[in-house]
Amino acid sequence: MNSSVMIKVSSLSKSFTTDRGTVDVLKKVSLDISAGARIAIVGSSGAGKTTFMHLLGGLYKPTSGSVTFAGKDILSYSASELDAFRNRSIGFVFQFHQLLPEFTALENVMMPALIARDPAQEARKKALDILSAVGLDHRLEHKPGQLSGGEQQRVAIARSLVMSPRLLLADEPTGNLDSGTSDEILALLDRLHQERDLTMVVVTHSEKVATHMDRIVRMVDGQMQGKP
Amino acid sequence: MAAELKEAYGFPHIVRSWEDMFGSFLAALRLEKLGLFIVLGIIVLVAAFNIATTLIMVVMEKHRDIAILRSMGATSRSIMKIFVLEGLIIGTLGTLLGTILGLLLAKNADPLIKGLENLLQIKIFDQSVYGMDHFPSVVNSADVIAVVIVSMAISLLATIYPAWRAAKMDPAEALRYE
Repeated sequence: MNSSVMIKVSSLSKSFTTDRGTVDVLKKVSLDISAGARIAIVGSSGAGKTTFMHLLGGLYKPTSGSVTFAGKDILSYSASELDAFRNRSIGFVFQFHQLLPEFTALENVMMPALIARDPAQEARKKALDILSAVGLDHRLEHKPGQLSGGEQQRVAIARSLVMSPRLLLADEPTGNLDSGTSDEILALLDRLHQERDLTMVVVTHSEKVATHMDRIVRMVDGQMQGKP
Repeated sequence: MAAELKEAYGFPHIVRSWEDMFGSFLAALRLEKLGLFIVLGIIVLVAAFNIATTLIMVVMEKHRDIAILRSMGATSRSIMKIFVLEGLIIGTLGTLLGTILGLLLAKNADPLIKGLENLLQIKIFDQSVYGMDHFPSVVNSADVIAVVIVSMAISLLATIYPAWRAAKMDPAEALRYE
């Protein structure tokens, strides 16, 4: 195996059983993602992009196939190992920021560190560092509802990176933002990618976001177009 | 006591205990106690269902938040703990309030009943039926402890199903249909 390959996806399939029968959402998808790469996964709705991202993040078990992360098959992990893997190695950013509404920006960002049982002081310090890196040190005590869309998404990005993961999985990170704010978020992602040596997988509809990445992978009807 | 006396004083003496004399009256009192126990038991059951349904609603409401926490690496065990803790807080508060209120009522039962009788001009505790001039209310600490333990246990039981549902939720499913 090539040592620079961080994630190796081999013949990954996922089917869902519904009332109307079995739906094959992913059909034998293979993809190599090298460390530090930025990959955009584009495709129409229902092409299986989000399912693919959730499988990469270990939120689902695939029907068949494997996902290897830094040489280890994540399917061999036990439930608690998988939780720890999500906590430490992966950062998720979702389309609708998905912040916890009852908590302040700072507390939201502290959450992954608290889940990892870091002492509160240390979690706070980590959160303050990353919040200042995304330019939000003046909005620490605001709740998500008091923040603008762009600010909310920046908090979500800060939260995904507070544990210094190696992989960032983003599902339509600019999906509900206006074009100016989208540009800001893309610039922020660019900067974080350089500063933190992040590997990024971005699921998107937007051609603009996709062209921002190093490589574009197109998904059609549960299959990858082009070579892995 | 009555049995011993019967031994000691045979014929022509007749020994009758007060329990023999008021047998049917005491039986009626026992039935009344059983009836009360059943009614109170049903109330406790309803309260337990109330905790369970409240928690199920909270779990449904929070199901996006649960998914987010899972995506950040929270274990299903810790999600379960959150909801058991929430149920326990409700249960403990309820037990505490109930115990305080119950003790206050029990300690002041006689003046309260007399006050109510005066206020509403009715007879709640008919002294001629029970043959007592005041309402006999005694706080039995063993009973209080038993009630507290049982109500805490029931509220803990009521949390288990909702908490288990929260823990078993599929995070990817919840994040997808947002």
